[in-house]
Amino acid sequence: MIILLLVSSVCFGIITGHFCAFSLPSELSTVLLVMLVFVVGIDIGSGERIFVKLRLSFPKILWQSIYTIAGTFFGALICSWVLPLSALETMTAASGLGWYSLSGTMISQMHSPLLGAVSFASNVFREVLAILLVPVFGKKSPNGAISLGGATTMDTLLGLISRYTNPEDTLVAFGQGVILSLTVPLWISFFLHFLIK
Amino acid sequence: MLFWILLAFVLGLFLGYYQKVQWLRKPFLIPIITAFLLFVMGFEIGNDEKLFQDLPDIGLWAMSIAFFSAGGSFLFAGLYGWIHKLRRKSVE
Repeated sequence: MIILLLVSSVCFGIITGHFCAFSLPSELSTVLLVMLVFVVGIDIGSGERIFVKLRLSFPKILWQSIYTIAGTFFGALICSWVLPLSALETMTAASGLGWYSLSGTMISQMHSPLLGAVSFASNVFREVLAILLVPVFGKKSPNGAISLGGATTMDTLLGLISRYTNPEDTLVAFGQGVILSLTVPLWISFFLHFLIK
Repeated sequence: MLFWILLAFVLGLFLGYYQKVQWLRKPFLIPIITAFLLFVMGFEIGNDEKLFQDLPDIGLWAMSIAFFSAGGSFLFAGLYGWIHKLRRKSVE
């Protein structure tokens, strides 16, 4: 039911955005994100012995982030074998780790609008894929489910993850989102440096 | 933006920990805010005419990259979670 509501929201947003001449204030998504993480923060904070768990979770957060990044680039590398794109191009497109707005803009401005659009869309698809699969794998493989969202696990997907996993995994998801978000600009710059050469 | 998000999360965490805003702990609140957020994301895609028109052409490449990169991370992190679980069980 929830997943239907969320997928419908995206579709309704695309249709509305396409047929409406106006644009939404750029701060709106930031305000909604802040509201969401605040409410999710309250939800997690109300859990029993949460700070003890957070301290104990730090190594797990770090390893989760490392494996998510490594797996993303490994997947992008394999993908270059089936697409008419070089390994560097597919890895650059995937280096947004789900942060579509930053990766699309950065790559468009620093390299090419086409690769920027591919990166934007692939990160949007990744997020949609995560929205569809987190409810399916949330209980069976929480780490795998969290990794699907990449950097978006600290914002858009946090609500969904908190619903389909336990509070400890929600903390890991938030931590992964923070670490990945901090590294996204570095990864994009790193791959573009070799691509532009 | 990252700063405000982190601040809001830490603030929510502390307020939740000290049980100060229990009236905000409503089960429907998180899905509703998430739905609004996703609507805004969809709106931004639909509102960009060039991106909207180019989507069918670049869609296949983007979908492939999304599938492989998400699949790769699921495989790696899933294996890590599985090994972590096995280790925890053997310690117990």
